[in-house]
Amino acid sequence: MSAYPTNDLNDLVHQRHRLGILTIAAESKQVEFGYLREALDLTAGNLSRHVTVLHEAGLVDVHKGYEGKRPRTWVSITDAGRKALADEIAALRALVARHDD
Amino acid sequence: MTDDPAALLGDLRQLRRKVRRDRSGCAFPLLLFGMLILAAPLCYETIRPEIGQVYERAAGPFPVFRYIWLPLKHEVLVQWYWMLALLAGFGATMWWYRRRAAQVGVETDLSGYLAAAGAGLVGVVFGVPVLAETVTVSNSLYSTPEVNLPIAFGSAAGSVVAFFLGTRRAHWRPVAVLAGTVLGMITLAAIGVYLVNGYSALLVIAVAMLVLAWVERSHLVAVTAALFTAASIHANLQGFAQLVPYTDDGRVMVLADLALPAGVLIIGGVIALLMSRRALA
Repeated sequence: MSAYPTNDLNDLVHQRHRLGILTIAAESKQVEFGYLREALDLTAGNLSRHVTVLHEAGLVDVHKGYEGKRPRTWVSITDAGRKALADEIAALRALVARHDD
Repeated sequence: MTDDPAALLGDLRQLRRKVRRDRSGCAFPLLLFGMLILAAPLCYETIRPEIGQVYERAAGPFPVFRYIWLPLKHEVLVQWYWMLALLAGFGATMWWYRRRAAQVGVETDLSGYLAAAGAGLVGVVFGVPVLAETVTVSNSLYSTPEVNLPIAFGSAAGSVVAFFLGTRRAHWRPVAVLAGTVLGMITLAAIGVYLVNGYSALLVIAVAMLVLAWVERSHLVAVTAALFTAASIHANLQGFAQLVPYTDDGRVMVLADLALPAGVLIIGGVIALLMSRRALA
């Protein structure tokens, strides 16, 4: 942790919707696209863009499958994603603590 | 969601709570195992040998589930019942959480629960005879607590330390989890030596429920699992069979022993069911 907690914020993860995606994925084995869209109140296009950014950074995995005839997309967090989320939460806490001092 | 750090942390906490509430499915395993335990006494029909008739008791494939207090009509069935109840119970729990994930859209990670259930099953069912064969004592391990208790406490302490190290150092995690699991199995085997009433399956369920409480981050499951563990240990070491009026019907005696642990799970399951219905309303 650096002397200035803002330096520890990761621009890629700090975006609030991406932080939300990682938080939800970290609480589960995998989470469905529709659940993320509803929980974060995002449009399919917006969510897709955020998931793509996280996927390209290696923070989440994306699996496509079928439930009966219905196509479904599942998102799961990677080890790197868990670490990035933990680091971001720690940086946010440090920032709040510094602000409260 | 907001950009203010404190408010952002608050939003994330709320999101976490929502996911935990949505993915929760603990009512099913609590009720299922409660019912399976409650149904077990049906297998314990007693045989009444004629005077002068020599009755030879079958050893059966899983001696840790053997009921030693009365001769039973279906000795082997009792042992198979417990083994199949455990396997079916864990299998059905996995199916249930997958079905729930398909409906809700968020899946609980049951790998820790299944690993604990598997380790508990192997530790109790196969660990007890292996420990008895491996550790050479003048008498049985049951009669030599000066040998068995240090094994139980030493392996339990080692298991806790290994799991603790696994959470602290990511690169040690695979080795630490493996060591912690093996030492935990030895602990269960050493405890299993004392479970003379033949209800060792309850201990396996207790281990799985304690881990499920952690997986679900549920206070209700944690309290239910702790009470169930205490009731299971009591049923295995003492039980309530001696408190019921004398009977040579094994079904009544076993029901007296198992009613409390089964009741704890069923009550916990009913409360979980009511809570989940209320959350949906």
